[in-house]
Amino acid sequence: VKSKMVQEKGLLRFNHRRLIGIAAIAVLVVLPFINPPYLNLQFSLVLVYAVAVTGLNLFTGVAGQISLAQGAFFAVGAYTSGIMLQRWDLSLAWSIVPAGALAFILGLIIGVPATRLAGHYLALMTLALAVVTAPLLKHFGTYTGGVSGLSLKQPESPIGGVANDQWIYLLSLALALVIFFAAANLSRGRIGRALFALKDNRLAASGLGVNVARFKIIALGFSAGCAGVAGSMYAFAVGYIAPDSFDVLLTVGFLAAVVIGGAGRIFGPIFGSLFIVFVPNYASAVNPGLAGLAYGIAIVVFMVALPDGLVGLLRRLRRLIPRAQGEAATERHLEGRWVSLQGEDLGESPTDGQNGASETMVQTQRGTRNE
Amino acid sequence: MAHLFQQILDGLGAGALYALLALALVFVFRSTGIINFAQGEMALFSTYIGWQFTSSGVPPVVAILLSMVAGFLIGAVVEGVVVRRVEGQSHLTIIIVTFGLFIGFNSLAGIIWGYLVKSAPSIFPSASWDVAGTRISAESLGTIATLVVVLSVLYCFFQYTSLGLALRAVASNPQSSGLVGIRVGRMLMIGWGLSAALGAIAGSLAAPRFFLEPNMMFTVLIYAFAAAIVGGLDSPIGAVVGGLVVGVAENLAGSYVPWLGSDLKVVLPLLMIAVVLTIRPTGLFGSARLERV
Repeated sequence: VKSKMVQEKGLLRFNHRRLIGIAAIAVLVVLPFINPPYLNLQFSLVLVYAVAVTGLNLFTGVAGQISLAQGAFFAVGAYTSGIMLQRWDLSLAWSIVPAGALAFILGLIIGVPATRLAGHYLALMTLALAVVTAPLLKHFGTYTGGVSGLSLKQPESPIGGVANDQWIYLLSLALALVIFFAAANLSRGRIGRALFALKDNRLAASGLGVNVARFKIIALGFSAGCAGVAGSMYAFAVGYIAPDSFDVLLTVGFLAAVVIGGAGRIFGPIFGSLFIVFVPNYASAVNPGLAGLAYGIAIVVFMVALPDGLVGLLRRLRRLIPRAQGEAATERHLEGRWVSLQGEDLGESPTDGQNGASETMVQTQRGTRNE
Repeated sequence: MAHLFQQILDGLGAGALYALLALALVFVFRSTGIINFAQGEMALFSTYIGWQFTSSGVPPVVAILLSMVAGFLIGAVVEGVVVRRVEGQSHLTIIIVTFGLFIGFNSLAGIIWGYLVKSAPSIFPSASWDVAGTRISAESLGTIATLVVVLSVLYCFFQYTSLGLALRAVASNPQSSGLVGIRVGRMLMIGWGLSAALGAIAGSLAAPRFFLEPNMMFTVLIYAFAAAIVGGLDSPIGAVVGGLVVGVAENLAGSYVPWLGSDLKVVLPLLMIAVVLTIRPTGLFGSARLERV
């Protein structure tokens, strides 16, 4: 009887969540008709960034791998659309798919050496990619328009009564929802569990039959594909792309968004993207360097004090409200799907091979502390 | 032939610079197992402090020493205040934190000193000598000499002083060092401080060459990473050899691979990193690290 009750409760809870979800989507659809046009552009950017950040969140937050190449893949998507539009005058729908596909394939290609590299080496390689993106774009000026960049024809609204800025917002929303559900399903299923295992303990995962290399490549491919479609949508939303928009700050911004929202949290990218759209807006009015400083401080403070980000903070605040124990248990169970214990990658420990015993002890302690 | 020698010599000059920053990376990695992505930006910040002194009339050599002191303090404070709190956590956490420091220091330098290029005076005379068709500039020679001096001082420091011994002990086994009474935390702070001071030398020597602006150290950092990877991340000798190799390769590629123009030269260290990591991840002098299963 008891188990049935729990089940019922779970079912109810699920419906309850679904209702909230539908209401949230309804609000998001109505929003552009209330907001002024400039805010619509800002919120379009939030959604576009959220797509790229969701991809990175899967790679960094779920699989525990570091990529700073997200800005580079974003640029690949933006320029694929930009160049296709310039040459063949295609519509948005025809260029967003190749943009995502190209970034996806590049992600897979980079994923091949990346699977051999762990931890800091991967960060290093991808940082180097982030640094060369802008010079490469400037170098191939015949295609990319060089320093002056490319101007794009923005998509026009086919529906009367819906202005262009509202239409762009709705397109971004549709894209964000598709990617959001794709990522949610991906991390819930077999691939997601394999990726969580990858983060927790690479060696144990491979011992249990997870093909570490393959899942890393898949995760990077998906992550890059997200950045590709996001970049493409960005190009349409802004209507202008130039190499200097794809600098190191952009890619660090994506990383900051993952951290601020909460690494591995499915709703994290939304909070993170709100931060990286609106904070630079206000900060750059004061000083061009202030946005970067805000990113830096946010990253350090969140990693040190709030490693599970804003979403984690909200959860903890909610837990302060007392309620039935059964419900709390369900909650923890659900949570387990998104959050993994912050285990250490045994293979990369600096003290490896010298004091295995004490290391295991430390790990156990940490494990209990996180519980 | 004279042209080739010229390119190699110029390359060694630039390479000595990369070697200095690579040394800083290697020392941090050896002592804490962390790749400090903020090393270049910490160096940039110290360099700006040195520049501030020069612009108010302090002689350049004294300014460099002051920037080293500033660098030491920055490194020690960063270790004590920030890195200490994430030590022992997953690599992911630590690397993300150093990226936060990276963008933070970069932007803070931009906020304080602006984004306009500043010219920094060189501590070396602009003289050059002609030897058998090869022009030897005082700057290249001076940079290489600086590297040699720094290496000798570091060698003596680590081999013959008790502080150096303690630092080595902490790097090789922190737990046991703690048990014999070495203050591990303080040693780590000093280690980070020393690395940042090394970085300050690199930054100060780079400033007249690349012009001082907030993004100056991006490419220098990439070259230094290439140097450290080529030499092996845990080998100081490797960092020096790697730095010189990378510097010479950069100059040779610049003059013999024309399509690689100056704007794409930064692709070269990227390729070197990729090739070395794929073929021989431990680099030339690095030691292989075993994985426990």
